[in-house]
Order: sequence, then structure tokens, then C-alpha cells
Amino acid sequence: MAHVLFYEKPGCGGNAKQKVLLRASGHEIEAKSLLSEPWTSASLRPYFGDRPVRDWFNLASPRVKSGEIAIDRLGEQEALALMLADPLLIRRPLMLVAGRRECGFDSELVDAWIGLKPDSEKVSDVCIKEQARDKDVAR
Amino acid sequence: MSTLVVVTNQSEHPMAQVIFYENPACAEHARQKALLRAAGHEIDARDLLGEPWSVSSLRPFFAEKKIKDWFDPSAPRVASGEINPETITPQAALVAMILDPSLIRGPLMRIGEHCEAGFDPERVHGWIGLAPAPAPRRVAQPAVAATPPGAEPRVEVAK
Repeated sequence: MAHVLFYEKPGCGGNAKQKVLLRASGHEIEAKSLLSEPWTSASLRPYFGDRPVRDWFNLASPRVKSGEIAIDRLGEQEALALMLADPLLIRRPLMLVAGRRECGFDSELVDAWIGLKPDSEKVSDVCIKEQARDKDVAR
Repeated sequence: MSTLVVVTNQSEHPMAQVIFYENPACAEHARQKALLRAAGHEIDARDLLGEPWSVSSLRPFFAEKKIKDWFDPSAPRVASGEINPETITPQAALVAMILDPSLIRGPLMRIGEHCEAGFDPERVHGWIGLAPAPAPRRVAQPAVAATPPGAEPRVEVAK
């Protein structure tokens, strides 16, 4: 069992599903709002590890989808400055377990990291509202 | 015989210690502090305009609020249209506020790690409890003034 510090957007359906899966897998969750945290470059940067800058972003954010923020052309400092002012740009959740930090929810990575219940429904960090819309379009 | 029922929030909401960033000249902020004190909360009042704000310290207060609601609509630079809260980016908004905190919609309140901007009595009540407010003023019926013969009736709606 792991103690997971879990930064979420309150009300985000995807984050709710991820927490359900983590709890069902026996983990203890300390949920905090991504939006109420006094982020600094120094406190936020470690969650992204060696991922490329574009993978730091929440691709469902309207400012990213509209192209207002060109995530492929941003340097690290620019990206962090944007995120401190608008935490909805951050790919969520951010999770901290025993000193290791990760962003987003890749269930294979989380399974290898702290263990997830086998045979559980596929959970990712793709916005579930968008998934539902895409399904509607496919029909 | 009527029964008077007094509802208090003592059990539901324990006393809270509120860090209250105010514009010291704002009478509304003074009234809000009085409300909080009347509900039993302890206030640590600080000067909103004198605080060395940073993006990190200021942004959490706005949480999920829309950018236009971060601004004091009566701030002269907002009222004049120099700053358009509808189109400004979050970064530009925060930089403008750090340089000129009078743009911030006060008060800013913090209790522990929970932050709030603006004073919405319902939100504050749900959060830490406010003393039962006086019953809302009844919506006045349109008053029909005494009408001189031959004149159109004049209708006034009380606000």
C-alpha cells in the first residue's frame, strides 16, 4: 500500500476515476487541488522528470487545443511560467509517492510503480468528457 | 403562540483563524470583517495593497475563478477600459496585479491551505460558517403612487 499525494482538478471526472482505481488497489490518497497550490518553478518542475515539454501539458485545455499556446515551441521556463499562472494547463494528476513524482496517469507506469488492481477497467489521463464526445462522433 | 428557533452554526463550524487581506480604506471589507468576527472567527487582517505578491502566492486565491472575476471591477484602470479582464491572459493579469494590487478583487482570505478571493457570503458560510444573517429583505411590491386624476399611474420598483 502506498500513500499517494494526488493533485487534481476538483470536479474532474478523469481524476475521480483514477482515485477510485487507486483506492481499489489498496492505496491511500491525499487529494489536493492543483489550482490552490502555490506552485513555483522549483516545486513543479520535478513532476515532469525527463519528459519532453509538450508532454507536460494538459492536451484537453482549451488554450492548448485552440493553438493559443504552441506547446511544441516552448522552452522549459516559458512552459513553467505559463503553468504557474494557469494551473489548468498542467497535465494532471500530479502524484507524489515516497519522493518520486509523476505527471499524468499512465496505468502501466502506475502499475509498475505502486501496483494497480489487475483486470481493472482501463484508466488513463485522456479527458473522459472528450472520450465520450469522440464515441458520440464515431456513432 | 409562536416559537422562536435560533439556529447557530457553533457545532457545524468551529472557530476559524482567517488571514484577511483587505484594502484598509474599503468600508465593505470592514463590514465583512465584522461579519466574520460576529460568527466567532478570529481575523488576522493584512494590507492587500502592501503585500509583496508573487505569482505563486497570489494565484492560489483565484482557484477556479474566471480571470474576469479576479479583478476589482471598480478599480480605475479596469473601469476605464485600460485593462480588459475579458481578454487578458492569466500571466498578464497576475503581473499587472503584482505591480498594482489595487486591481485585485478583495478581500483575499486564507484559512490553513484554503484560499478564497472576494466575499460571497454563501460560499463563506459553507466554508467556515457565518452568523445567521438577518432575514432577507422582502421584495417590495411595486408601489403605485397616488395618481392625480387623468395622469398615467406611476410605478416604482424598490431595489
